[in-house]
Amino acid sequence: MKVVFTIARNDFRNFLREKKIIISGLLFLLLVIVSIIGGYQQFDKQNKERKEAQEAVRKSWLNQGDKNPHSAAHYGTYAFRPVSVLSFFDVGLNSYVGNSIYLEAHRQNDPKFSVASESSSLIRFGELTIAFILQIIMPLLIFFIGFNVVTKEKEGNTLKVLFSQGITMKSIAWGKLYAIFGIVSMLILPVFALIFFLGLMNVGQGDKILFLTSFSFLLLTYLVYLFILCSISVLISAISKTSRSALLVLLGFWITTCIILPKVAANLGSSIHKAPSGFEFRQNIAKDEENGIDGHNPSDKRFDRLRDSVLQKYNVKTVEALPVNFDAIAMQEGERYSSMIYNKHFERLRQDYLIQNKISQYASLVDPFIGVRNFSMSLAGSDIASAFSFQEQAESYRFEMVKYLNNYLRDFSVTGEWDKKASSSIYSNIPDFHFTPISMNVRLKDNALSIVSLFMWAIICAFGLSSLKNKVN
Amino acid sequence: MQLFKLIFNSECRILMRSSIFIFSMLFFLILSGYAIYYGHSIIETQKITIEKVRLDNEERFQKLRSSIDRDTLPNVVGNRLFRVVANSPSPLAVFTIGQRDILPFYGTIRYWALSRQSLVTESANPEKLVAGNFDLAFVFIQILPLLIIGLGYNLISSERETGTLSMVLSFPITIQQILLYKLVTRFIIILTVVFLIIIAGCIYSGIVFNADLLNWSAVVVVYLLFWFCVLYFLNSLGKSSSFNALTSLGVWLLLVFLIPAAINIYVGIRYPMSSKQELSQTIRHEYEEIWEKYEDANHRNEVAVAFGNKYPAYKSDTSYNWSDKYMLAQYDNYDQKLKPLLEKHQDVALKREELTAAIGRFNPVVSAQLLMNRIAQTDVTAHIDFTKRVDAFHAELKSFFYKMVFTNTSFRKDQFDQIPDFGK
Repeated sequence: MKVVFTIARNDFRNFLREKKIIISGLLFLLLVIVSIIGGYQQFDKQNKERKEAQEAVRKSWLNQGDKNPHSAAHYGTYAFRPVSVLSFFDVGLNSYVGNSIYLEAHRQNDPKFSVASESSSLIRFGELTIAFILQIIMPLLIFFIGFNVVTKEKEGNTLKVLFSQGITMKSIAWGKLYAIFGIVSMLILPVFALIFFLGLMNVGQGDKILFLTSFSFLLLTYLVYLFILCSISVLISAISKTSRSALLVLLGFWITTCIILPKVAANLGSSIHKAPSGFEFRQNIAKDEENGIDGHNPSDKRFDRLRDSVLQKYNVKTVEALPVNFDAIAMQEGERYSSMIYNKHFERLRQDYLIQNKISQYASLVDPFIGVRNFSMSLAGSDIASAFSFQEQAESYRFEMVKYLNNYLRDFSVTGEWDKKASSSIYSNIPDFHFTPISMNVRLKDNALSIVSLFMWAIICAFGLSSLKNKVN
Repeated sequence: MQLFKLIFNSECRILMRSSIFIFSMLFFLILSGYAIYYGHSIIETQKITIEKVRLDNEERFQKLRSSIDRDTLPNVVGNRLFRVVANSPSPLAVFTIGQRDILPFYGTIRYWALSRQSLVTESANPEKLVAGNFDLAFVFIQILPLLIIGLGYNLISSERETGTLSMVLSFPITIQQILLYKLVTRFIIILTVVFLIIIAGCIYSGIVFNADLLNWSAVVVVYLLFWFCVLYFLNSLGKSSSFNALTSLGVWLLLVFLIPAAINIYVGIRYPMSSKQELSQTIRHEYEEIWEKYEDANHRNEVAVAFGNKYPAYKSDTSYNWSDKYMLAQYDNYDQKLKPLLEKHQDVALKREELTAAIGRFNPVVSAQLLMNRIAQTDVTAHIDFTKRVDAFHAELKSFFYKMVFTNTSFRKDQFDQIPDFGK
């Protein structure tokens, strides 16, 4: 064990003396700084803008004046998708998801205005965030530092000398690993400290625990990822004959796992399992509304049945004789029905997307990059689950809002009394829209496969290092 | 020339015997094949969607038509009449999907307030959107340079490192000549493969030869030339193979990832995304106002008169069909009020695209992508062209019905065929 540390210390010092490593390390830090500034600025701007927008729509909602509750339901309000604090670290899917939803009576609107829809085609080359740098650039830096750590000893014939002193390949490899890992940690730990403080500055009082746990998991995940990469570079260097071939294998590995496979996996998913187009989605909903969710319950029959049951309940003969507003009851029933149908189809679409993404998830078993990417997005609150959760919460808010107004209308007016106005004070009885982030338990469960595959990779790498044989070639 | 032939033949022989070359070529061919399949399936799905929307709308149209058995109020027809507007993909979109998977490409439009009717944004799996399209443009722009680098990063250095360089130089030939001939050999091989792939793609998705295809292919060729120039320069430096491999990969990384991302950040700061708050608020405020004053006969009258003064063609008495006239006048006001806000939204996108193109000109990767998107009409500019065509069509459709309503003319049964249609 002592030998391992001697080798590690020795190599670590040598790395710090190498000009190419110092330069590439500085370049790396420069990139990190640029990405932090860019990412943080974008986050800060979006965060403020959405908060202001949400406050503004709330204000106009509260100050809409006396009007018929159903007019208020038509007037509606907006839900703005809040940007999670850690999205400056990993922007994830944020730019590709709509930012706001119009919430009104009778209609479930789609989220609108994504960043990507306003950007030039260049956005498809990727966005420069810290996560991007840690996930894609960092491996290159590690391979660059580590491709020749063992082959160098082979080419300089120093490996034989080490063996003759009774030092095993196993301890050499571990020593080299610690040295590289040390250099890498030296680079990224200050970055994580900065991320921690920037995050802490912006996190709301209630979300502190979630932030702290997310941050800890992020740090742990990236350390495991970097450990895997460092071990791979030492392993390949140990089994390669020349530095050149080690470098080629490592670069091939990088291109395959960081560039090609993630893209193929994401696209293959949607090629294999088709999701309905927007048109089909809306058409299926319209069909269900017309024929009933089971196909045997057309809308006019549903209406008749509702009327009869209400008349019976109040023991009157005609709608006009009702003490309550039947239009409001009918509208609420329609709302309930359409919401039920919408949720059914939305859930189906969600499942379709999740099935498509399964390929990506399974690919994380052979590609540690994908595992880190998925888990990191989820921890940063910028993944598909967060996007769906926003849409669901917005829809349930819309439903509760319309329901309150319909019920109010039912009780305070009678059928056909469309011009009766309610006091504007009733609008404050509907609380403001508030997005609850996904809990940590759910995030861990969603990413179980990615987490397992990362640990599996780490274990296999450690096992690989420990089972290296003393071989000069 | 004799020497070139000699080097060409021997290099080809060496490459053919190299298992790495065969393997990476095969890998590249498989990726290209998938890219062709992928691009075709995405564009085909879009075409099918447009077709489905058309069929569905045609059915509604026929239903409406058969329900009108005598002359009627024009708005009775207009209110229920939708026209499909679609941005049909160009044949080359199969190779360069560009922003087509993000931007809306169809919609159904009625004659009234255009700002209340938005084009449909196709729902898509965001995880797939962020991964980007695996189309032929991606393979040529991002993957092919890697293959080129792999084939040519060590043309001189490997000879030096294996000790064969001095032997080669004993022939009457300079290092520069060897390098050039070796590179030309590889250029010919890559070019042949690229053309075969393009031809296969054309056959698979039924693209016929035209000027666009020629331009598109020319972009690819010039882009390839750029990478061969990089290699020529790098090999001339006379450094080690490892240095060459890392440097060329560094150049690739810089051009493909870092510079585009940096441009993105700069463009984002220079033209921040327009705030949607004003737009969202105006959309509902103005709309509510129309309804709020609906019952006020005086107001209604004033609006209709003011409207007639603004557009002499729509000058009309308010004795007949007044409520519809009021609504139509208000819808026009509504469009006018929202127009600058919507334009601001679109302006940002256009300005961003322009600035990107201006800076990106200095990066061959960005230039190639933007040019390909432009030629295939899958960029933001093409989308804005489409929305302009929609605007023009809506104006036509609007004036068709507005004229009838405001001149108290009935809609005749046989006038169905005269209703303007998009792209006809």
